[in-house]
Amino acid sequence: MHSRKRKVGLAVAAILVGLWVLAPLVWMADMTIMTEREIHTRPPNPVPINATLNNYYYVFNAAAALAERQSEGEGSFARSAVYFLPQIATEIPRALGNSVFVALCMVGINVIGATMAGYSFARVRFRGSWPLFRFTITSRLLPPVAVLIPFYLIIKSLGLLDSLFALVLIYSAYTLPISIWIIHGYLQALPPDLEEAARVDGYSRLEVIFNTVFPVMRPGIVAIGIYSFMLAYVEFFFAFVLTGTASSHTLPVIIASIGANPVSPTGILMAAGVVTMLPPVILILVFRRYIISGLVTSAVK
Amino acid sequence: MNLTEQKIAFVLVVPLIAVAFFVNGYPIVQSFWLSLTDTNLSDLAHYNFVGADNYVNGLNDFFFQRSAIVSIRFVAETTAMVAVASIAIALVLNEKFRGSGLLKVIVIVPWAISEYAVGILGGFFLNANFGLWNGVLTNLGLIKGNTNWLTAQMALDWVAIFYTWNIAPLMSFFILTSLQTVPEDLYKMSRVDGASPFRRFRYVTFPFIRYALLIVLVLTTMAAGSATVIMYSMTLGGPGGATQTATYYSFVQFLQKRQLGYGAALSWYIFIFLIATTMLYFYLLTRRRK
Repeated sequence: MHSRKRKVGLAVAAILVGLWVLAPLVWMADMTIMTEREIHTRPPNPVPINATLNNYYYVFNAAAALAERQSEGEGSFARSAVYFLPQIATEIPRALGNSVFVALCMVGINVIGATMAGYSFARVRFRGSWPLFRFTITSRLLPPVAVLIPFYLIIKSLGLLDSLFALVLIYSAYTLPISIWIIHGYLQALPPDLEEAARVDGYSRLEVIFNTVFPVMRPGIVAIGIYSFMLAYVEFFFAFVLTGTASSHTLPVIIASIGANPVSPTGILMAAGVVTMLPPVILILVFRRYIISGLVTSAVK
Repeated sequence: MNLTEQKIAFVLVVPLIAVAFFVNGYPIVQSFWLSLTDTNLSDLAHYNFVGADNYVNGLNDFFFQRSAIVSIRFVAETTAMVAVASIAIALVLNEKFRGSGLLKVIVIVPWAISEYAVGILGGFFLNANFGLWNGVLTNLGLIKGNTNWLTAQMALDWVAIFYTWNIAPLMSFFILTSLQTVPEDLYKMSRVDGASPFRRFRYVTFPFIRYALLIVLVLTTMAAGSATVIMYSMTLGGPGGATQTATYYSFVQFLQKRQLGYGAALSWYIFIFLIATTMLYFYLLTRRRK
């Protein structure tokens, strides 16, 4: 192989991927350190003149921003970001906590539930396995809008409106089918030799799952962990309808409420967006090892 | 032996059955029942059974027809872009080079932004007055003055591009996971045989990522087929309904016009479309497995 040509090609590809992903994010982060007036200049000037961290301060302390608006008076129109800030922005820190909590619950439920169910669909032969598998996946194809009202009525009759538990319940129903499917597909790609060897050695089915299947499947498990975390973390529809007060509002609901105004504080919204990205990034940094290493091939060999 | 197999399957699948049937099954049945009635959101207790009226009305509704075409175009554009982008990103991430670990972490980040925020970002990026896109193109001398990008012709493409930007990273992780199951030896052998990069991909890599690609296609179709929030925050379904997808339209029927029965019937059309598309993918990608 022409290894130099290959290296150059790879470098170009890597740079392109990095640019495609990063350019909008960098621009987003860039806007967070500008003042509202700098963001709204024509033609746009991406270099901040008076770099400020005010937007981040307002994200975590919207009450201070609102108080400042009160003291400045209405005359400060368009001069500062806080002019268009609605009261609901004070809920951001709590909503961030709610979002992370719900998302972590989803990771736990999916990693345990989907791994076991996915394993039994892929490896254990039992009656009704195929129709049940089909149904689980098909049930996810109905657009969320269609089941929104039925879900609302169920949750209402259970007395769970405005609770994080309701979100956990519905997101479970939403993520589990896909997670099971991913695990199923992943196991199909793996030869069952290792498990069979362990069973011949006299290990029980559950022992095989915990000692043999779990370690081999780590990349797959990490994939569904990331999938379920993200889905719950960014979900808007159900959260919008089923939550009512600060005790269960999640972050997408708050951001949408701020952004839904005809004129919204761009800088603060972008800063909230950057803050939103931090928990998932931390999660990925923690599990980086499992995403990167080629555990599968080494374990099967 | 057989008995224990059954028992184990029972223990492992029971939580799933509970979730699938009571949390997924019941709403589906109820939404089908709603679609056969003229239920209104403001008065849930009183309704009439109207049979297939809602479905017939849906077929004759000009706005639904228009939104269905918008949806199909959006699904086609998004699915094609996501498939290409996710495979390309996964192939790059699968290589080991300096900074590849960092790139893997960075790549997933777009998915950490909620659909609503992506819409705000996209809308502002293309803003005719203050948007960066105009600024860049003007500086390169490609356009003069402030161009409006979110026109009736182009708005949907731009929404599709930002939607792809949002979800392609996640999808690339599914592909990447399956790429890691490709045995190294196969690559080495094919390289010794002098196979071209394209043939290596087609005959060595592709069989291993086929199932993951199926998952990606179905997930993307599902997500794009019910995308509403990003249109709402980026274009409000406009201009003139150019980005009003079928789900968006049924959402309007549901929550603004309060026609639960009609909205549910429209959702069932979308459901049928998604099932048909999914079956097509299954047929195309699994027919040569056995």
